[in-house]
Amino acid sequence: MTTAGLFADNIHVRLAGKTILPELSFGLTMGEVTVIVGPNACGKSTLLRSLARLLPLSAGQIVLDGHDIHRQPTKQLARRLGLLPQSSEAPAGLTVHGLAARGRTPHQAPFRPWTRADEEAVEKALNATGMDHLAERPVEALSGGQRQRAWLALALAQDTDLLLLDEPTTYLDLPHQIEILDLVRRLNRDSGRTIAMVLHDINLAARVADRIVGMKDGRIAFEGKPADVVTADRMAELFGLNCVVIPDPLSGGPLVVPA
Amino acid sequence: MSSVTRKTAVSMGAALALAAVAIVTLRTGSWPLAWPDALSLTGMDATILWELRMPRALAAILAGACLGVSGAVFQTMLRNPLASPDLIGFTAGASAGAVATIAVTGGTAYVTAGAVGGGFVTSVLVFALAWRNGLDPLRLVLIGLVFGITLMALTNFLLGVSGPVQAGDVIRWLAGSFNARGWSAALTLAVVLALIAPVLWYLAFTLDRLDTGDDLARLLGLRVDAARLFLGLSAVVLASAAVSICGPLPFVAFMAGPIARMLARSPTSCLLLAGLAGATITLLADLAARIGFQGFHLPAGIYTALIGGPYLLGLVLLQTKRNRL
Amino acid sequence: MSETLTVSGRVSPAARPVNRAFAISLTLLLAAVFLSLLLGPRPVGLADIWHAVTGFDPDNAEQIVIRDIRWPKTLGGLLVGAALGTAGAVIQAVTRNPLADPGLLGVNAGATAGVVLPIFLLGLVDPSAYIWPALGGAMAASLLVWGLGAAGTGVVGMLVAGAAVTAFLFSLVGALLLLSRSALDVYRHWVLGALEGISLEAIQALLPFFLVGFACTALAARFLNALALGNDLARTLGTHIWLTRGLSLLAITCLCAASVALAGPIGFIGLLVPHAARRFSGADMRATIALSAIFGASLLLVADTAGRIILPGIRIDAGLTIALIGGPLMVVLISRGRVLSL
Repeated sequence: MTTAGLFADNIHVRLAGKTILPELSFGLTMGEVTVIVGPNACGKSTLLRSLARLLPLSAGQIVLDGHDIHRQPTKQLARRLGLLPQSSEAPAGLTVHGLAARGRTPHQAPFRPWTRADEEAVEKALNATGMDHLAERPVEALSGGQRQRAWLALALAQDTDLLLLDEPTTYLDLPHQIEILDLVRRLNRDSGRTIAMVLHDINLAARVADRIVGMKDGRIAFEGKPADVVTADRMAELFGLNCVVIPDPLSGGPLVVPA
Repeated sequence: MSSVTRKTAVSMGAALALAAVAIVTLRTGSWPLAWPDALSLTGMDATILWELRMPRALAAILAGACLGVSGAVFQTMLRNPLASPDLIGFTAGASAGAVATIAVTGGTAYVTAGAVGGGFVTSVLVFALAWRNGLDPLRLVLIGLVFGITLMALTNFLLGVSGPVQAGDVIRWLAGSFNARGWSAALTLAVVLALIAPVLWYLAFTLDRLDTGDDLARLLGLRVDAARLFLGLSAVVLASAAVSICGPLPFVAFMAGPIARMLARSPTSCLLLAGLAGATITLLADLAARIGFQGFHLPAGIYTALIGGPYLLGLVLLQTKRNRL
Repeated sequence: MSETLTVSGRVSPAARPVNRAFAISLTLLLAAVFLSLLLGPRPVGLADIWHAVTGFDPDNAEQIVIRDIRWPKTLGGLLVGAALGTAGAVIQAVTRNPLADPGLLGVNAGATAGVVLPIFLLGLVDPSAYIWPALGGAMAASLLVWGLGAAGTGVVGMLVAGAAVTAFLFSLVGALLLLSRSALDVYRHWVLGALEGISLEAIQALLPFFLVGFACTALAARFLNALALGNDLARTLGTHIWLTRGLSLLAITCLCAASVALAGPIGFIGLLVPHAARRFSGADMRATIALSAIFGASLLLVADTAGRIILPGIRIDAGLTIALIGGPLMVVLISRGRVLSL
């Protein structure tokens, strides 16, 4: 497979002695927003972390543009692929600007000074996440939602074509959730960035995704356009939830109403 | 960027302080020097200055710098303020090696070799046992601790069973001292420091980015395991070199890092400042050792914690007050 | 890991391996106690042990050895080993730092200073008189470190302060040792840490401190589980953070001060036994503490017994044998197991 894109080919992933992903093949279509949904502990995060090369594979391989990611130099990979992890503790004393600046690491080198391009990338990232007025505050002094946006600024400053986001909206209130998802969609539409996200809210997923992937018990249950796959049957199959799917009055897409 | 300028300013201040202490220490001693006669290269004053005081002071400065930097590297790369080569077995290995050579050869002729050998063997063992698909900081720390405690117990045991003359040698060596350290000692340390410093300078980039965790560092393209291995080896070489010259000076490696970070108010490692802090405290300790106390001369190792401890405590309390205001 | 810990602190069915670990280690402990009574330079038989317990014969030399020498040592070893293991588990939980050793609070340094200073200043050389100065020194030093911690430096500041106080006191002691030959002689033997020469009177005198320490630990243990989840979450679970910390520190101080006063400074147990215990008990603090106590007691007794019999005629002190026995065990456990972070 020498086509452009990120492909997981029959991968088998274990964590702490347990098999999480028994045999999974997954292709990330470039230039799209893909959202992975599923019940708790179905392996969504594990899939994302495997794609980001954080987890070793017991079998199979993950290929980016035809090259096995486990054989690529770390720095090169970091310039193409960024991951926003689920939760992380910032070291004491680090400011929001400092944290976002860490995102420039793959573009830096021991003796290469901080350039104008680096500073601009950080400013853009802070602006996009609405954290510019908090730039000099220490991360530990922020609220949960602000902290999440600071970490998102780090991922954005990294300036990669591929961005993986693991539950980027967990601690945010609804307005901020919408804001972040709109930002993500803008990143995709304006600069063609490929986004893969894990979201726990199926309705938000339907709103923002070009493609939805449903996972259950470590396997892919279905994938396709939101209009096609967000149906009452699929929701019952995935979550065991009885629901009704109606057209969203604003966007026209599917809206899940639990029974 | 203001933290960088503060770091630079504090480092320059520390260098000046070190220079001032060095001048004081060169002028102090039981033999009063006549300046500027001493600066010439002949005569008794010159001999005292150039053959005795200068090399001893340089050895103290360089040993302190090696220990300070070594401690700071360990603490940062293992993400633990309690990590220092004293605690994590490497200086214990050097001590055990040195003490074993004293006990076996009955004298201090091969102490340096014993110390270097002991430190080297211990490090290899610890790193090898801790390596499992990479170098996990916690595993490294724990195995190092085990070695440290075991080797200290062994050292104490050797102390208990050795004859009185050897016991005296052992104790004097274990106390840490710069007595009769001359140009060969100073030059050895200078060479080691000159070789390791560029390595650390290069690795400082990665070192400063380990604090957010290994996963994130790898995501950002850093080669964490390789960096940690080389950082660890560099730190061990520095510590072993220092210990082989002057014995296991307590506390210097532990306190230099925190002192540097608190003075510079910087979340990153401040290796240069740690080296300066270590050097200054060690030089002061040696000065105290030479001055003595009512006719008693105690080795420098006694004074490092007596001086450094209260200073570190003071800084911690000051920082608390500042944080609460 | 989180399978064994639920929010209420109750242990879930996935904890059956823990119960097995308890059963095995308790059996080992009983065996260790038994061996400690049985083995030694003077051979005694099983019958002698039985008679010493049931119908004591004051003229029987073997029974005297058992009652007056081995039993105090064994009891002392049980108390000290359990105390150190417990204190280690607690301090690692409170500080969330795997390198935290109860000695960092200053107990060992304070006790040593407490022992050496009277020798230096007053020429005190009577071994039985060491207990109270050691205890006093230990408590004074840890009170100082607590105080620094309570002044708001936070946990990291307290550890750093503790390390500074410890180093300072040890240097002071070092100076005194170099200035006084008699102090050095006493220190050389005391520092190796031994169950030799423990008397029932000493145990009786220090028992209240051990009991207070264990009691405080039992009270605080439930809350330590919550504390491990982080301050914010612990607060919402209704834990008084300062109360828990205070109880824990009081427990650590009492347990360590009493241990050092009774048997001299013994390293290793407080620092490394909890890591071994955690391999079996996972994240549940109560299981970890209990297991640490059992492991600590077993290790100390086995080490002391081994020291008696390994080299005929020479008694190797427990401090060294603990390191020699426990060391390789720990290395195997650590290098082959998953590393459990705090």
